[in-house]
Amino acid sequence: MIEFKDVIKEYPNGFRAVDNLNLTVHDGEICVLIGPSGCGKTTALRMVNRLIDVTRGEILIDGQPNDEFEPEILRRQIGYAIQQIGLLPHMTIRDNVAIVPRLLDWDEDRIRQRVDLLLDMVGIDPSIHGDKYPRQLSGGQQQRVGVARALGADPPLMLMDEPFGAVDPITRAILQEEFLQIQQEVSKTIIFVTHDIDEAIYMGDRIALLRAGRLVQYDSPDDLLAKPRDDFVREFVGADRSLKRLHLISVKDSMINNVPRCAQGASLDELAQCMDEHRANNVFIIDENSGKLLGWAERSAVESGAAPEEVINYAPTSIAVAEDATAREALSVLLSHSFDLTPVIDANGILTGGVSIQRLQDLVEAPGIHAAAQRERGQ
Amino acid sequence: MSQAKTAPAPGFGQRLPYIALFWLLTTLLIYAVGQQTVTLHDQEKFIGDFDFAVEQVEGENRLIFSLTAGTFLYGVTPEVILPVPTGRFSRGDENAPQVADVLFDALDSIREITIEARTITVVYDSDMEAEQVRSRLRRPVNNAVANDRGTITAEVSQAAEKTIEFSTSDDRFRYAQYQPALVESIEEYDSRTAAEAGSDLARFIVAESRPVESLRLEPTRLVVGYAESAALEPLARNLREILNDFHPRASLAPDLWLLTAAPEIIPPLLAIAVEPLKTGVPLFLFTLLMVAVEGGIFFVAREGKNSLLIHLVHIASVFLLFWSILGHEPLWDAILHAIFPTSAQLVHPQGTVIVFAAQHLELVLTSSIYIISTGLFLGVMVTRENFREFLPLVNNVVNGGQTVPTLAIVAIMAPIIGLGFMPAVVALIAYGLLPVVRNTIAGIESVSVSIVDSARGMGMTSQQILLRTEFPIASRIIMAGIRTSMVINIGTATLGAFVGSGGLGIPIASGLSMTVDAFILLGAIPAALLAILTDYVLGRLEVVLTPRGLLIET
Repeated sequence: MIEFKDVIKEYPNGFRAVDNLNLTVHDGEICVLIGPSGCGKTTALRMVNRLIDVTRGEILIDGQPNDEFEPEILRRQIGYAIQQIGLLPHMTIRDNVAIVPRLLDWDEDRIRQRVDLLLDMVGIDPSIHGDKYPRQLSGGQQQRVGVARALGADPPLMLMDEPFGAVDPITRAILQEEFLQIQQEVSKTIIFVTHDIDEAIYMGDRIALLRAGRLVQYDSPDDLLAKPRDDFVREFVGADRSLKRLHLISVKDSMINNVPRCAQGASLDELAQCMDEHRANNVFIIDENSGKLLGWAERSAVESGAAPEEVINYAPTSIAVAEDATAREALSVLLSHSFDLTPVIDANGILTGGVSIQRLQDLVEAPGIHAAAQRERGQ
Repeated sequence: MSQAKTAPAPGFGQRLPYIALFWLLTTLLIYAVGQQTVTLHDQEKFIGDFDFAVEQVEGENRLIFSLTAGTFLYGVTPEVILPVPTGRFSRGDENAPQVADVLFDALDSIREITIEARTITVVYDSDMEAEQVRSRLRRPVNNAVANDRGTITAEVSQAAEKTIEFSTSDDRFRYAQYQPALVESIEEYDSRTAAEAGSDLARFIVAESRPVESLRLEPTRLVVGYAESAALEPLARNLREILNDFHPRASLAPDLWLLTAAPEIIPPLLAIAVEPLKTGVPLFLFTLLMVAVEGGIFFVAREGKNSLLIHLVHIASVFLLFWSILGHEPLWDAILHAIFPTSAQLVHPQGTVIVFAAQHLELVLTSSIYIISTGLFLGVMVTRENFREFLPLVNNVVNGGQTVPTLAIVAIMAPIIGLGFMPAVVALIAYGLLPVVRNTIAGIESVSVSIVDSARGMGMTSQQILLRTEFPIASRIIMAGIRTSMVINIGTATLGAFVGSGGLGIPIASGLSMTVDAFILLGAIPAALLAILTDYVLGRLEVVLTPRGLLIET
């Protein structure tokens, strides 16, 4: 547990980078510090491992003030990853990951095992890349090594300053997801600095929004989006906060099970009847035996009286969303097709339900479900 | 993705066969040249051939060879110290000794010089102040007599007018005279076995001439005892040939000259270690050994491991080869004779090339040790947080050191420290500091802030950050600075000759003042070679000392 108690950082010129910060980060939680440039989020982070000294107030780590330790001793107990990664270019990947264990005088066998384990964990094959040098790896791989290095000596606490900031959005998304999976395993207490609200919402268990050194709001991502405390927060999380909330919900949580569906080979009448029953303008065609989604038919086509085979469009994957996708993706599919309902399929391609615009609206307006949804998704 | 570029640093392993080939060719060349004999061309340092008067001692099996003309033993100063003849001399006397001649030349108004055992009295005619005459004559007297056994004082006589008296604390005035000599000091061998264990010349004589049974070698005389059965005439002729074979010609198959030609430059401890080697390792055997060594290294390190040891072996052997060739005086004589066929003087009379080169290297190494330690210290200091404010100051001082001409620094230092080695070293330090300091600063500042930050964040102490992070990453730039500094240093060190620091500047300076072009080249060529070699050696070290991870281009 990390506690900021009335922490103030004041520079000699009187500028207060951090002003009276009170914050508690519980064990096993990812606390995201976010805010505009110069809001003091990095300063706050760097005060934890004493890269910057606190002017007033104190920071407690598991109840102990952090200035009771020698700075170097303290830092060796705290994982540290930064945006520029800072891998030492003259050391191999293995040696980079082994830096902190070596500083702690672990024996070489243990270091070797630990390093290979960590590299495996972050998705770097130690037998291929272990003896390479940082410059031989891509940006994404370097970020992974950076994370592995921060985990080096298995510190209970980690400080991460935009650790995925230097890679392209696609790689970043992958790294974020993988990191959350790692966090499931290792369950560290993490302070995570970012300026990207999407990343904050995706990664954070709790988000601390800072402005000019002051804590503006400290809440779960869902509450931050649903109940912004003031205009600043509202502006910061963006006009698309509803969309962002959708990001927090999985399709599985938001879908309805009762969707218009007909087996392949149904007559035009049966198709029309199905649509009428659901008051829908389209119907999904499934395989009779397996329940797999095969395609769909439009009301206009059905009513035109063409042969059933011509009425059905076969393109199941392009119109469906997966069960484990976010509600936001479902919305995206909804917008790009003229369906009332986007079909949802499971990992085997079986139609399990659908998501409608109306349903999404309801979800965004009703607070509360998201936290539960996210927790469920996390597990 | 730059994964494909996993090639190791410049593959030394792959180049090894070529390096072995280089040694092999060098071996063949040196061996081939070693089969030749050359005549020495310098007319002062390697004069003529021996000529002897031979006489037989009545009733004994003994021949006496008396040296009437000829060269002296290579490397031996051809001087004998003799008493100055006494007497009263006036201008134009045929039998006036050298000292008197010198004094008569120095001042036209000298009338009479009286030389006694411990005093020289000079009587002159001019109206000059006595004090002025005294100071005018002081130096010529000092130059003309060998005064290393006593000090010479000069006084204006109180007893007589227009008279200066010189006196020596030695028991008498002596002078040094050029004298060709067979050997430096007397050697006596009363049997062949004794001679076989004796000096080079003694061994040579008994090996070449079977009837010789005893030997006495004196600077100007050779006394040979021979077997009764020997035919006298052929023996005398044979010995004459032997002596001439031994002295005026030198083989071009040298020993490791580092060990034999300049033993005085080998530190005492090392000298004990190399003592067994000193008795002749022909250079071609050494290069042949290197073929085996390089071949062995290639076999062991086929994978191209860039081990420091391999490079050091390589560097040391190239240096030994270079040094051996540098120390080969007959080679320099031949080279310079080829360039200046008409020049009477070729190799410098005051020393051998290797002695100058050794002094030069000493100058360069001493100053470089100071430069590197000071430069690194300053560079590291001003990049520390606490001393950063001194950065502009250090920059300016160091820049200033290189702006002021070296000769000016030498000239300023001379009155303060005096002449000799140290003022030259100080000037070289002032001049050579800039590249080291500047590159150290640049190297350390090239380490990105994020790397230092993450190192600190991981819990490295500032010392660990410096040694494990900043230095390795900056090493290449720092080494480049040291390399530049040392190479410049070698050129600049030739100026040290002007304050008597020794070194390769001596032949250059005296060549310029005496207008002997050969001397200039004798200093310039080895200095240039030394600079090239140093650049090569440090270039190698730079590659080896740069961590592999930094050699990968992104």
